[in-house]
Amino acid sequence: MSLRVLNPQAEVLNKSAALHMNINAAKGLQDVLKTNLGPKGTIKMLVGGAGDIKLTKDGNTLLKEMQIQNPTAIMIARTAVAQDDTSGDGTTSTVLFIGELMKQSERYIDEGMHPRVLVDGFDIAKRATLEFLEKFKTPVVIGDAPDTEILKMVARTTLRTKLYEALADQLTDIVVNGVLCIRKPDEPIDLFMVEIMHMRHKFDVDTRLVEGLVLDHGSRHPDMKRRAENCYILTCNVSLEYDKSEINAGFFYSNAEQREKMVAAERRQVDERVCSGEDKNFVVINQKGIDPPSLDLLAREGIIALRRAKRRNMERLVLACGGEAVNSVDDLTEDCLGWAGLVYEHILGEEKYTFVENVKNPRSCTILIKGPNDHTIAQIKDAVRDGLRSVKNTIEDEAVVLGAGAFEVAARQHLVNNIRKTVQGRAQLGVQAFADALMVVPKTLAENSGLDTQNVIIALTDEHDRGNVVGLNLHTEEPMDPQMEGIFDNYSVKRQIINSGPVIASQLLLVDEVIRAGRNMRKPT
Amino acid sequence: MTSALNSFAASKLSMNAATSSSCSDPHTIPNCIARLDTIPNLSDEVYFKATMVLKDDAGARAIFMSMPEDRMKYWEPKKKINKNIEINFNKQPFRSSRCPSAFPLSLNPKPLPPATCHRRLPSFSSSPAVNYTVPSVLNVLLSPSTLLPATFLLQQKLLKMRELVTIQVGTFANYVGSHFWNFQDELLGLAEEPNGDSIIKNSCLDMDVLYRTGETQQGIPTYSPRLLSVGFQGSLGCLNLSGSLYDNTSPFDSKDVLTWTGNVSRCVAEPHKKNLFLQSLSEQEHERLDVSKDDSYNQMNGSQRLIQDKDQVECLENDVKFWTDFCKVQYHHRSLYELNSSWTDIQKFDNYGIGKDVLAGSLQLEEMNERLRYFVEECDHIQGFQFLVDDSGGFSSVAAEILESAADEYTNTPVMLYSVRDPDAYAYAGTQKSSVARALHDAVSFSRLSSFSKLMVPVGLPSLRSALSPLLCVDDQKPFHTSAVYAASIHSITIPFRMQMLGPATDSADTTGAMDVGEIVHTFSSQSWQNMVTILDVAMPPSSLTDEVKQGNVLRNLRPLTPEVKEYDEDLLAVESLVVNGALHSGNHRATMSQVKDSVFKAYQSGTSKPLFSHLSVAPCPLPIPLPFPSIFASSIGQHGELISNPAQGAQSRGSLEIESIPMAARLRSSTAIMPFMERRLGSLRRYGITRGAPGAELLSSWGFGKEEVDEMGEHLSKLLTTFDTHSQTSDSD
Repeated sequence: MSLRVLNPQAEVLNKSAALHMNINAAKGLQDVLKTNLGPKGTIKMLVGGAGDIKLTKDGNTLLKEMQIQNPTAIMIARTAVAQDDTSGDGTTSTVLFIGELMKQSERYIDEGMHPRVLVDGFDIAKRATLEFLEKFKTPVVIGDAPDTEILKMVARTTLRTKLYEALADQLTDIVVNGVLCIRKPDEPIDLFMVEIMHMRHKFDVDTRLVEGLVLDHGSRHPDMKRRAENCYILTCNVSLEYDKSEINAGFFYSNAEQREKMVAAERRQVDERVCSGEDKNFVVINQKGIDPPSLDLLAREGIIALRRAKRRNMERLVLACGGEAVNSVDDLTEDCLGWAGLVYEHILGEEKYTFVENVKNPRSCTILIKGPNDHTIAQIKDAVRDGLRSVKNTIEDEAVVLGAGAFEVAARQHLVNNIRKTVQGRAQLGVQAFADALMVVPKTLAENSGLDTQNVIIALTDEHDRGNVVGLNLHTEEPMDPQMEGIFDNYSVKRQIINSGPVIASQLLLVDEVIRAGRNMRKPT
Repeated sequence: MTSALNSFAASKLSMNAATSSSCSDPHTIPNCIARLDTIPNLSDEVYFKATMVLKDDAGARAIFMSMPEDRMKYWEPKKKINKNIEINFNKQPFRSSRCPSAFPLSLNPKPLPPATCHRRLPSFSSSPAVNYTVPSVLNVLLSPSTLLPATFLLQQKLLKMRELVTIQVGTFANYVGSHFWNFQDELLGLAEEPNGDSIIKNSCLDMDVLYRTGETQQGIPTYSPRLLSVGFQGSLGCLNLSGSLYDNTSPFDSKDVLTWTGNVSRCVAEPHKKNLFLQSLSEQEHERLDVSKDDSYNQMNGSQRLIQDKDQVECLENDVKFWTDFCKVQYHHRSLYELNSSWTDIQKFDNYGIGKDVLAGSLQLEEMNERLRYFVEECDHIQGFQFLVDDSGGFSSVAAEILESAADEYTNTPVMLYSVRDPDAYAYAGTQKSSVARALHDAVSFSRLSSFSKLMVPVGLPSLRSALSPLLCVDDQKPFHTSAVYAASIHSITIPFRMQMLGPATDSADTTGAMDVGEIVHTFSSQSWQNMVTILDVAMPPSSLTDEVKQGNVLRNLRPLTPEVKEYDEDLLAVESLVVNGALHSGNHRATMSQVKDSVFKAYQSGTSKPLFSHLSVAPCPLPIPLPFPSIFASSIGQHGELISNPAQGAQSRGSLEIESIPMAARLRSSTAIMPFMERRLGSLRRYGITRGAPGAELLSSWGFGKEEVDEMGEHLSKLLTTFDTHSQTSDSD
C-alpha cells in the first residue's frame, strides 16, 4: 500500500476492523453514560487526583470531565456537547442513541449487510421520525401570558433528572419565575439576564429567586451604609480614579474636578429629593474603579458606592431597577436613576454580597444558589442552567413532547407499522434498526429503575398498538399517561437528537479504513 | 531620623491641617495598614500617639498596624476600654522548610510573635458619621500636633502602595510563576525570622503590591498572592483546585451527596503521590496547627530535618512533573483555573488555532474574566497587570483573549507581558508542515499578544546551558531548572514596582529608582525608539564590585534571555532600565547603594556604546534561595552568591542547601538588537501566510483568521518594526 511506503510506522485497519473499532467506541461511551439517564439514574461523584470532588448527573459535564482519547468517542462526544450548546439538554440521550444505532447496525453488518444500505434506511427513517414528531408534539399557546403550569411541568421533568425531588420542585418555581421575569414579548429570551449567583453558606434548600440583583462585591468604605431603603440607583461607567501613570498636575485637577462634579451632581439629586421631604438614599454602581478619596467623598454625602461591577450587571441593573447606564456625569438627569426598595450588604468572611431588592417591574432577576460546599453548588448550578434552558425552549418552540419514553415508543411503532412497508428493498432493515434504536430511551429508563426491560417494552408497545400514548411509570413498572403525570420534554431537544444522531452514526458506519500514524488510537476511553 | 521625619510630615500635612486639627477623622481612608515597624527610631511617644490616632471608637474601620514587639504595650490601655478588641496575626503561617520557627497561626491573643505582629481592630456596627473620640482617661496625651506622624504614615502608605495583579497562562508560565511566588514567600518568611539577615528584614519591599489580605469564613486571616493562574485540566498535580487555604469542608460531609437520593457511583482517580517536599510541607503545617507545645521538640527534630532537606532537594531534582510539585505558596481559591481541554492531547495543544477552539462557545473565558475582576475590584490603585504567558502553544490565544477583554475593561491599566517558553518548544519540528505551522504560530501569537499589551518581554532561549555564564549549570531538559532562571530575572525586574517611596523624587537610604508599571512603560515608549518589545538581560549572579577587574563589570555580565537578538549591538539610541539587587562589594560584604551607583556609572562610562537613556534601580535585598530551588549554581559560588576563589573539589552543582541568597542584576533594554526577532516573525507571516499561494494560508483560515485579519497582523508587525526606521541613527531625538 502506498501509505506503507510513505510511513512504515503507519498501521492500517481494514474495513471490518475499522467498523468494529467505531462500534465498540460508541458502545463504550454509551455504557459510561447509560446509568445517568432519568430520574432514577445514578449520580456520579468524580474525585480527582488531588482529592477535588465533582458531582454530576449531567451527561454534558461528565463528558467534559472525561479524558477521552479514542477519536471515535471524541467525535461522538463533540456532537453530544454541541447538542447541549444548541438546545441545553439531551447530551446523554444523544450518546445513547448513537451508541444504540451502532449496536443495531452491528447485527445486520455481521450478517453481511453493506453499511451503505443501512445508512440509506437511517435517512428515510430520520425524515419520517421528524415528520412524526411534528404531528406528535403538544402545542403550547404562549402569547402574552404563557401557561405557567406547562412550563413548570417541563422544568420539573428536567430538574428531577438532576436533583432530588423536593429540591427539584423548589427550583422549578424559581426557574419558571426567573424566565418569565426577563421575558419580553416578541423578543428572544436572553438567559444572561438571569444572574446565577452562589454563596457557600447554609443549605441547598435555601436557594431562592431574588427579584432584583445580587452583586458579588460590596462597598469599600467603612462609613458607607450597609443597608438602605428607598434607594435611587445610578448605574455608570465612569472612571473615578487618579490616573497615576501621568504625572501631570493638570490631569490631577481635571480628575478631581470631575469627581467633585460627580458628587455635586449626585448631591443635587439628593437635595431635590430631600427638599420634597422624603427619606431617600442613593447608590452608585460603577463599572470602572473608584479610588478611596472618591469613595470617601461619596460616603460623606451618604451615598453607597460600588466599584468594578460586572459588565453584564450594568445591563441587568438597568433592566431590574430602571434608569439608564451613563458614561459621563455631565448630563445627569433624574431619569438616569433607577430605583430599588432595599439595598443591603451581606458579608461572608471576605466575600461581600450586595442585594438590590424590592424593585418595581423587574426585567432581570437573580437565582441565588446556596449550598454547604463547592461541588454541591456546582451541581445545582448546572441543573438550574438546564432548567432555565428547558423553559426558554418551551416558550420559543411553542410546543412540548410527551416524555417518559412515550415519544420514542410511539415513533418506533409508527416506523415499524407504517413506514417500513413503504420502503423498497433492504433499506427496510435500516428503518428497522433505527426504530429499534429509538427504544434505547425507555429501555435505559427501565434498566436504571431496576425494572425488567423486556416486560416494560412489551407492555408499552402493546398499549401503543391499542392506540394509547403511554410512557413508563418508573415506580410501578406500569404504563402511564405522561400527560396526567406532567412529564414533558423539550421539542427542540428531541428534534436535535433525531437530527444529529443518525448523521454521526452514518459517518462512523461508512468509514472503511482507519490509518493510524503517530498516536495510539486504540487506547481505551 | 525621627525629628526629620516629623518635620517633613508636618510640612507635607500643613495643607491638611484643617482636617487634622479639628480631630475629626484624620485618616479619611478605611482599611488601612500602618507599618510602624518599617520606620526606624520612632520614639515611644510617637508610637503611642500613633496607636491612639489609629484607634477608632466607632469601630467602623479595620486597621492593621504592625510594630515591633516591644511597642505592643501601647495597646494595653485600649484593651481595658474596649473589650471587643481582638488580636489576629495578619499572615498565614510561613511555609518554608528553612525557617521552621516562624510563628504559629493562632487566634489566641496570648503568644506574642517573635518580631512583628499585625493587629487588627475588627469592624463593628456601621455608623455614618465618624467622629474621632478619645477615651477620657487618655485624653491628655492627644493633641493635634501629635496626630501628624501617624496620619502622614497612613497617607504615605495609601498614596504609594499600588497593586499589581499577576496573571499566569500556560504550563511553563506556571512553572516560572511558581518559582516567582516561592521567592516572595521566602522573603516574607525571612522577614519574620527573629535572627534573620537584617538586609532582608529591612528590604523595603512592599509585599502588599503583590499580595492581598483576606479572611476565611471562619475569620482566619489570610495573605495570598493576587494571582490568576490558568492551566490545563489535570496540570495541578496534587494541589487541590480550590487551594488549601479556604478549604473548610471536613472530609465527612464531602462524602455525602446532598443533591441526590438515588444511586451514587464514585469514580476516584488515583491520587497523585505527594513528593517528599510536599509531604514535609504538610507535616510542618500540621505541627504548626497543633501549636508546638515545647520548643525542644523542634530542636530535637533539627538534625533529622537536615537530612530530610537533602532528600527533598534531591527528589525535586529528579522528579518534578507538575509546577505544583515545588510550590510552597498557598493560593487563594479563586486563583487557580483549569481549562477544560475538550479532549485534545496536551502534545497537540501546540498552535494558536486550537486554543481558540477550546475557548469558543463556552463560558470559560467569562469565568476567567470574572476571577480577574474579583482581584481587581479589591485594588484601590491598581498600577498594572503583570502577565506571564507560555506562548509556545495554544495558550497564547487563550492569553490573547484574556488580554483583549482586559484591555477593554481596564482601559488605562498597563499590561506588562512576559512571554516565556520552555527550551522544549524549540525541538526539531519534524515535518515541513509542522515547521510552517510553528513559524506561523510564532508570528500570529507575537502579533496578537503585542497588540494587547503595553510592554512585551519575550523570554525563552533554545538553550540556557550554553547561553548563560559558566556559573550556572542549567539542565535544559528540566522545566524546573530553566523556569527558575526566568523567575529570578522577572523577580528582579519587578523590584522597582514595590519599593517603598517616601515621597516623589526622594530616595530612601536603602533603595533607589522606584517606579511603577506605568512609568516603565512610559520610559520605553516615549524615548527614542517608540518600541514596546524589550530584551531581558540577566546576570545571575553579577560579580562583586571589587572583582570587576577580573570578571568584567555588571553590564558585561548581563546575558540576554530573549531569543534571536543581535549579539553585538551598537545602538546609540537604546533605552535601558537596570535593576541591581543585593550586589556584593567584595567577598560577602554588601555594597552600599552609592557604591553600586558609582560602579554602574563607571561601567557606562567605560562601555563602548552608551545607551541614550538608562534608569537604575538599586535595592539591597538579594534574591533569597528557597529550599525548592534547583541546584543550578557552580561549585565556585558561596553562601551569599560570592565567588569563592578556591572552590571545593568535586564539581557538583550547588543549590538551596549551600546557598542562601544571591545578588542579581537584570535589565530591560529596548534597542535595535530586537529587530531580528521581530523581522523573523514578520518574515514568516509574509512568506507562509500573506503571499499569494502561501503554504500556510489554509492553516491560518482554519485557525479562524480571514485574509483581512492576516493582513492586519502583518501591518501591525511591520508597524512595530518601523519605529526603528523612523529615526536614523544620528538624529537627535531628544
